[in-house]
Amino acid sequence: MGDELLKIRGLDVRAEENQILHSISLSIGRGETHVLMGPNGAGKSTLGNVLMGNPQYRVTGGSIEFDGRNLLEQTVDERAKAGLFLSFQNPVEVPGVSLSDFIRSALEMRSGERIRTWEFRKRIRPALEILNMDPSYADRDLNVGFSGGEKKKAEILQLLMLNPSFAILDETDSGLDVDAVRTVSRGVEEYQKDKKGTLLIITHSTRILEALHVDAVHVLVDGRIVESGDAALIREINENGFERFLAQDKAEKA
Amino acid sequence: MKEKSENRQITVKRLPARTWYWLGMNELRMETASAPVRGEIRISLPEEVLMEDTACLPAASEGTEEAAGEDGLGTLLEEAVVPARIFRVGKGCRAADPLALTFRCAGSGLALHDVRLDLADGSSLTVLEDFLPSESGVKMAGVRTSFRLGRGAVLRLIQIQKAGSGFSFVNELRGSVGAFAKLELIQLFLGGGATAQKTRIDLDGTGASFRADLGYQLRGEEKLDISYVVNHRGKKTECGINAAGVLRDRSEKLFAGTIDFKKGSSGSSGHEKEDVLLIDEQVRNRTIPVILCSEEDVAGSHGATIGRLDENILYYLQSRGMGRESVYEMMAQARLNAVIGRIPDSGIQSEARCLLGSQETVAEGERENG
Amino acid sequence: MAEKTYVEEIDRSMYDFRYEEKDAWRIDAGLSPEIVEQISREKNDPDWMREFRLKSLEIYNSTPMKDWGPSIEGLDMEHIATYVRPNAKMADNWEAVPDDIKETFERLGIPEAERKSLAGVGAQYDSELVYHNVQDFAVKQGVVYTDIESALHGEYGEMIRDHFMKLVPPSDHKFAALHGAVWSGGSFVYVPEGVHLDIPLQSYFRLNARGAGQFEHTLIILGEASSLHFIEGCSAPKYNVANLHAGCVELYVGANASLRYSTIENWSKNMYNLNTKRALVEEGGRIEWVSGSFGSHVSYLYPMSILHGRGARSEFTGVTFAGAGQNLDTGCKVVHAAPDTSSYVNTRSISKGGGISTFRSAVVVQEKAKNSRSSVSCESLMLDSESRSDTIPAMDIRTSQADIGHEAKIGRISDDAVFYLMSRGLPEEEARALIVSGFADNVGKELPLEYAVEMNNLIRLEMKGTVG
Repeated sequence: MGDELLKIRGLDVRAEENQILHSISLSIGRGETHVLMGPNGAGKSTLGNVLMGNPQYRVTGGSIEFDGRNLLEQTVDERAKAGLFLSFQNPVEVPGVSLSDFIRSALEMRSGERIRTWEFRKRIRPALEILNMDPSYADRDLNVGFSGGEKKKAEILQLLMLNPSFAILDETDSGLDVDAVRTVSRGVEEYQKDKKGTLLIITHSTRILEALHVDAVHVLVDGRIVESGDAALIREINENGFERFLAQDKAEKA
Repeated sequence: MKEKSENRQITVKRLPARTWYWLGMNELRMETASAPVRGEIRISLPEEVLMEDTACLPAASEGTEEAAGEDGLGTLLEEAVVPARIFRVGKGCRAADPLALTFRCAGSGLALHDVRLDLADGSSLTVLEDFLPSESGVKMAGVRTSFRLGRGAVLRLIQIQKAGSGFSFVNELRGSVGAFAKLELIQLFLGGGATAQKTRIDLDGTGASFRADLGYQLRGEEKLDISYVVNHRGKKTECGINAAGVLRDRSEKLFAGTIDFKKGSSGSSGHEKEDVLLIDEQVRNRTIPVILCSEEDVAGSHGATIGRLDENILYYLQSRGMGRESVYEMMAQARLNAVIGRIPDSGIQSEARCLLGSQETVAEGERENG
Repeated sequence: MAEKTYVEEIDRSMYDFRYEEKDAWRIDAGLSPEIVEQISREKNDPDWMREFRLKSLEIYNSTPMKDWGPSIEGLDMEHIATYVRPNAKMADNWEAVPDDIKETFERLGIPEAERKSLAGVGAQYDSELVYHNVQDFAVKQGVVYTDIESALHGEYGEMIRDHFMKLVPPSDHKFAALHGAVWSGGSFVYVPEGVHLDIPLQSYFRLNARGAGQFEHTLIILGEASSLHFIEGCSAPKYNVANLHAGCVELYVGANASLRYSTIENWSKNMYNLNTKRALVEEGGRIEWVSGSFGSHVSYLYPMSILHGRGARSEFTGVTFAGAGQNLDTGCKVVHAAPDTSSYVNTRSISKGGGISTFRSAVVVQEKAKNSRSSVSCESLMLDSESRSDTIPAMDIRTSQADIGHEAKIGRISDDAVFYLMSRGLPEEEARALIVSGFADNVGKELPLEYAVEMNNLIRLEMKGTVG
C-alpha cells in the first residue's frame, strides 16, 4: 500500500469551551480508503474540518503530518494546494459565483494557467454524466437554492474535477435518497479507481460504503477512537449499531 | 450629535458655483473664467423615437418638487442656458432598439447636459447612457436626465460611468412614474474621481414601480456619493433598490437611500438592500438607509451588510485552494457581474463586461507599477 | 402659580427680562450668572462646581439651537429660567396634580400612599424610608449609593470631580450646557472592584426629592470586574409643573465590569424630554441598555455607548410608543473605538393616533476598531394612517476589518394574526393589544417582572380606543 500520506498523533481539539477530540491517532497510507464511523455527536465532522483548517476549531495538542509536512502550519488554501479536499456536510451558498466559474478558477489557481471555455466544458462533461447532473447546473450560482442532494453532488463534482490526492468525505450520503446515494457512490468509486485517490469517508451510516473497497474502519465515540479494524467492522455496525462501542466507552470511563 | 445634522444636510444638495462642499470635496473648484457649456452627445436613435433639440430656455423642472433649499443642477442649467434634448416615444410604441447616448465632454471646464425622456402611455424604451468623458481638458460634467412615464409605460435605463481619476461628475436622475408604469434602472460605476449620483423617483400613479440595481467598484482616492429618494404617492406602488459594491485602497462612499411612504400610498411596498465589500484598510463607507412613513398599510424594509467577507464563505472557497486575495477578487467581480447580468440588452451587457475587464487590467498595471 | 418659586423670591427682576430692550445679551439669555450663582450657593457647591456651572452657562448662551428633529417651540427659551426650580416639589398638593395623571395611577393599580409620594406630595415620604433601607443594604456590600450633591463634599468628592460631565461635556449640545449650569439632584453610585450587587438599584426611590426629575444627574462608576443593575424611572407618569426635563446620565464601566441600565420613561404628555445618556466602556466591559419610552410630548433620547477598550461590548434593547400628540425621536449611538468590540441594537417602535416616532441611530467604527462587529435591527409598527414612523439610521465604517449588519422593517399589524386571536375568543381590541405587547416583548423580557407587568399595562392603556 505504500507510505503514509496522513499521520495524526495524539490530536486534541477544542471548540469554544469544550474539548471535542481527545488524543486522536490515525495513519492512512497512500491510495487507501479509510472509514470513520460513530454515533451522532462523536466528533467525526470535527476531525474532517480540523484537517481542512476550519478556524472554528483549536488544536490544543498533538500533530498532523500530511505528505511529510506539518499540516498545522499551513493555511487552508495551502492545504488544498497540497492535495487535501473536504466534501462538506453542509456546503455554504455563494451567490454571484457560478459553479463552473468557481471550479475553473480553482483549477487555474493550481495549474497557474488559463483554461479556455470550450476546453473546460469538455473536461467537465464526463464528470457531470457520472453524477447524473444536468449541464445547466454548472451555470447556477454555487449552492444557491440547491437541495441537499444537489449540494452533495456539486461537492463530488468538485472532487472529480479538482482531483486531489486526499479526499475527506463528510457525511456525504446523509439526507440523500436511494438513487442519489447510488449516484454519489459512483462518483466516489470513479475517484477511487480512476484517480487512485486516498479517501477518508466520515459517516454514521453504511449505505455509501456498499460498492466501495475499504481498507480500514475506525470507530469514534465521544471524541476518542475506541476501535480500529477492517471492513468486517462495517458489517457488525450494520447489524448491531454502535451499542457495543458505547457500552465499552462507558465502562472505560467508569 | 454633529453626525445628526449631517444626516439632514445630505438632502440639501445646493450647488454653489464655486465649491461643491456637499460632496465633501473641497478641492473641486469651478474656474470662474470658463462658463459652463453644453456638452456633446453621440446619439444612436432608434426609429420609434423622436428627438427634439430645444434651443429655447428649458422649462422649469416638471412635476417633482425640490426639497427645501435644494436646486441641484437646475440653477446651473438655467444660468448656462443649456438647451434640453428631448426624446419622445409615442403612445403604444415599443422601441425595438435601445436609444444610446454617449456623453463625450469636449472643451475645458464644466460640461452640462439636459436630457428628457417622455414615454407616452403603453410605450417602452431602453436607454443607455454612457458617461465616458474624453481625457482632454474636461474636469467636470453634470448630466440631468428627467423622465415622465405615461400609464403602463416601461423605461429601462442603463447608466455606465467610467472616467479617470481627475474627473468630477454630477449625475442627476429624476422623474415621475405614472399608473402601472415601470422604471428599471441599472447604474454601473466603474471609475471616476469624485461622483455624485442623485436620483429622485416619484411613484405617482397607482401601481407604479421602480427597480434599481447599482454596482460600483472604487479604487485609489475615488469618492462616490449616492442618493436615492423614492416617493411613494400612488397606491400599490413598489420599489426595490439593490446596491452592491466594492471599496479598495483609500476610496470613500456614501449611500443615502430614502424610501418615503406618503399618506395615501396604501398597499405599497419598498425595499432597499445594500452589500458593500471592504477590501483595504483605509476605505471609508457611510450608509444611511432611511424609511419615512405616514401610511399604515405599507411594507418597507432595508438591509445592509458591510465589511469583510463572511468567514464561512472564505473558508469554503479557501478549501478549494484559493488564496485569500483571490477569493476577495472573485467575490468583488461577482458583485459587479451580478448587476451587469441584469442588463436587458446583450450588446450593452458585453460592452459593460468589456469596460469592467479593462478596469481590471488598468488596475493590475497600476498595482505592478506602484 | 400657587407658590412663589425660590428663584422668583431672589430676583424679581427676572420678570423684567421679558421687557428688557437694551441689553440684547440679557434678553437672549433668560438665565443669568446671578441665578446660577444663587443655585450654587443654595446647594453649597464646592468652588470648582460653581465655576463649572458658570462656564456651562457661557457655553449655553453661545450655542445655537439645533435645526433638526421635533420642534421644541413649546419651550419658552427666552425664559428658560422659569423652568429652573431646583427646590420646588413636583406638585404642591394632590389637587394640583392633573386628572389624567390621577386616573393613570388608578388604572395602574398604584396604592394611595405611593401615589402621593410619586406625585411628590404628602407628608409621608414612603419612598424616603425605602431609600434608606436600600442604602444600608448597598453599604454592606461595599457599594456607595448616595445623592450626588452631598457626595460632592465627602470622600468621593474628588472621584466625582474627575468624572462629572467629562463623558457628556457641556459643549456637547445646548441642553447639556443648560444641564451643566442648573443641574440639581441625582444619584451617585460607585461599585468597587470585584463587587457584584445582588439587587437592582432604583432611582424611583428618590423621585420625591426636591427638584428631582428635572435636571438630575446620574453618575455611576463601576470598578474592574464589578457588576450592577440600575433601574431608572417607573411606569407611573412623572409629572412636573415645569415641563422641561434635561437630565444627564454618565456611566463609566471599568474593565471586565458589567452594567445593565434599565429605563421606563413615562413623562406626562406635556413634557419636553431632552435627555442625554452616555456610557464609556473599558476593556472587556459590557453595557446593556434596556429602554422603554412611553410618555412626554417631545423626546430626544439617544443613549450612546463608547467602546473604548478592546473587546468592549454594548447591547441596546428599546421600545418606543408614540401616541396622540407625541413626537418621540429616539434611538441610540455606538462608537467602536477599539479592536474586537461588538454592538447589538434591537429596537421596536409603535405609532398610533397621530403620534410620530423616529428611530435615529449612528454606528461609527473607527479605523483602529479592527475586527469589530455590529448588528442593528429595528422594527416599526404603524397602527393607523394618521401617525408617522421614520427610521434614520447611519453607519460610518472606517476599516475593512469589520462585520456590520443592519436591517429595518416597517409595517402594520397582521390581519391574519388578529383573525387568529379573535377566532380563539379575544375581542378585536384585546387581540391588537396582545399583538403590540408581544411586539414590545424585546424590552419586556429584559425587565424585572414588576416592571414588565407595568409596561404591559401601559401598553394596554395606550391601546384602548384603537378600535372604531
